[in-house]
Amino acid sequence: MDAAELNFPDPPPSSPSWLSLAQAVFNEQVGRWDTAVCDGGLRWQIFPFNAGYDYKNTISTGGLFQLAARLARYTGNQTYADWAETTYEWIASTKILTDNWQVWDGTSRANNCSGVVQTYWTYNVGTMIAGCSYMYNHVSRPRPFPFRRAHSTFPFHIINPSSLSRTPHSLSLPP
Amino acid sequence: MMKTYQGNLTGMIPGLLPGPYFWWEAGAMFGQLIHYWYLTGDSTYNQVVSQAIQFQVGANNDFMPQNQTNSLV
Repeated sequence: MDAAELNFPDPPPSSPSWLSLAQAVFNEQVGRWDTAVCDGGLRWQIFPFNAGYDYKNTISTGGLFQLAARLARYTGNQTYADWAETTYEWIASTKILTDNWQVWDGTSRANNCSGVVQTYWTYNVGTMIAGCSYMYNHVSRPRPFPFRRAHSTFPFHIINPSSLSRTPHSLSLPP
Repeated sequence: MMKTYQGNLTGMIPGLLPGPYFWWEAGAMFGQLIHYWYLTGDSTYNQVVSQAIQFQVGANNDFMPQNQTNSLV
């Protein structure tokens, strides 16, 4: 997406474009969206025999959120915008994203997706900020097609840097 | 950072950093190099970055190359 958005020099004509690569990744990821468990969300692992397969986490789902938002903004295609909303709403409905804009790490089938792993990693916050920012930029620009949401503002609070400075572990990185 | 990356050298695999760095760290690096070019206008690394990214697209052009997919097990 960076390459597409910033007009990085194109690959040779025989190679797929930067946009098409991003779209293929998007297609790969939405193909794994499974509503049978936890009503959605992406798992941390793709292989069922891996530890953590039951874990539906923020960075996986949030990564898709960000990609969908960026594709929505870049292409103007409503399908991507819809997926940005779907992924965001899952993250919010599970309380991974809390009512006061805290971003936790994920939820597990082991607890029927009812409890949230309250670990704080900056990359989770980062991908949520990015996705919200791209969506805000997208919906605030005039577009010819109708929007599904009655209101088109994503939370500003999550992109307020001052709310991050008071958070402990603000420099923590995942292992 | 670019001294650490050797994928563009003969016999090496483009798009990967040597251990212990993972695929996501290589990805972050190449993303930042795109930003570097955009912000500075310095195209010194562009061909290396382009080669690296294209080499890792996998059979379905979705960045699931077999060598990395195997490593996820």
